[in-house]
Amino acid sequence: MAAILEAPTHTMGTFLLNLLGEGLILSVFRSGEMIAKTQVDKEIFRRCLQDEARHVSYGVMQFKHFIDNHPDREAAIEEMHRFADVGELIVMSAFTEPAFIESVAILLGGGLKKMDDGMDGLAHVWRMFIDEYLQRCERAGFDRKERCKIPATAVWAS
Amino acid sequence: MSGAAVKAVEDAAVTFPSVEWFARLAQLMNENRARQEQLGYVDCIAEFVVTDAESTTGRWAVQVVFEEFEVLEVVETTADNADRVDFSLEASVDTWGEMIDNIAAHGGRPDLEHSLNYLSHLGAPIKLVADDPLCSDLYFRYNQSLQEFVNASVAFTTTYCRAG
Repeated sequence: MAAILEAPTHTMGTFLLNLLGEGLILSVFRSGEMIAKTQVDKEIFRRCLQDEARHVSYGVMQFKHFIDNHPDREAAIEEMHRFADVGELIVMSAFTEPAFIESVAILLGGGLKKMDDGMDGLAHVWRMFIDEYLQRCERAGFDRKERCKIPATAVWAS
Repeated sequence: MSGAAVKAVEDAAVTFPSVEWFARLAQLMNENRARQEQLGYVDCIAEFVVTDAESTTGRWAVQVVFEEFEVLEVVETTADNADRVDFSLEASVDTWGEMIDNIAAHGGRPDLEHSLNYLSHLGAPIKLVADDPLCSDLYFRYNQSLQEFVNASVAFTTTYCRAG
């Protein structure tokens, strides 16, 4: 949160918050809907992911507008690459936090004894998140495939 | 939490997959506008694909044009209109049938393991397909509305046209 609030520019903050961070949270909400144990929880997650997806789409379009209209497009992209190098590591540290990963794996697997299944499911969510993140960057005109700091495969699955 | 959009079961059976079946859902959605207004607008062209439809001995697809709080059009996908689709949801007739039957069995709302998101989240048995990430994100932006759309199938009896 501090990295977002202290981002040097609005666009950098938008990239970190809407495109990168909320892209991850959108994946988490979709997983939350999947593992929810009551109908109330499922509908709450579906409504939350609706809202989150709007934020992500806003981030992609705002970022695309920034790049498309910048007077020095290449310099702007390089500056954003340097910012993304840091931002991706921040997000990766959040997505590898044991308190988060292990509890979601237990829920996703269906219990403590099926935690390994949950870790496999989370590895799939990881791949999906990275793939979607890189697609969104490319859609905005910001190709991160060669520079992305987050491994394509979950660190526990590699 | 509010209940399903439609609960009453009517007598007339409608065959799945067919344009008529999706048009029936569209009619029910348009008759329940208040629920859609509660959930928010829906602006997208969603394609529902049956990968093994008997009627075409293969892939069959229908487009549902959502605008604001209603469905404007339900039309079968052809070579002429295929490009306008925002995203597609692809599954076998058995997968769709299991979801539809589950919705019916639970009074208009699927159990925990048969929601659209549950079935599509890991890429199977329902596969979300879109050329543009902004378009695939529309599936998430309107997910609860789309869930209500298919939940309305509880209002009529579905019969199946299966391959093989």
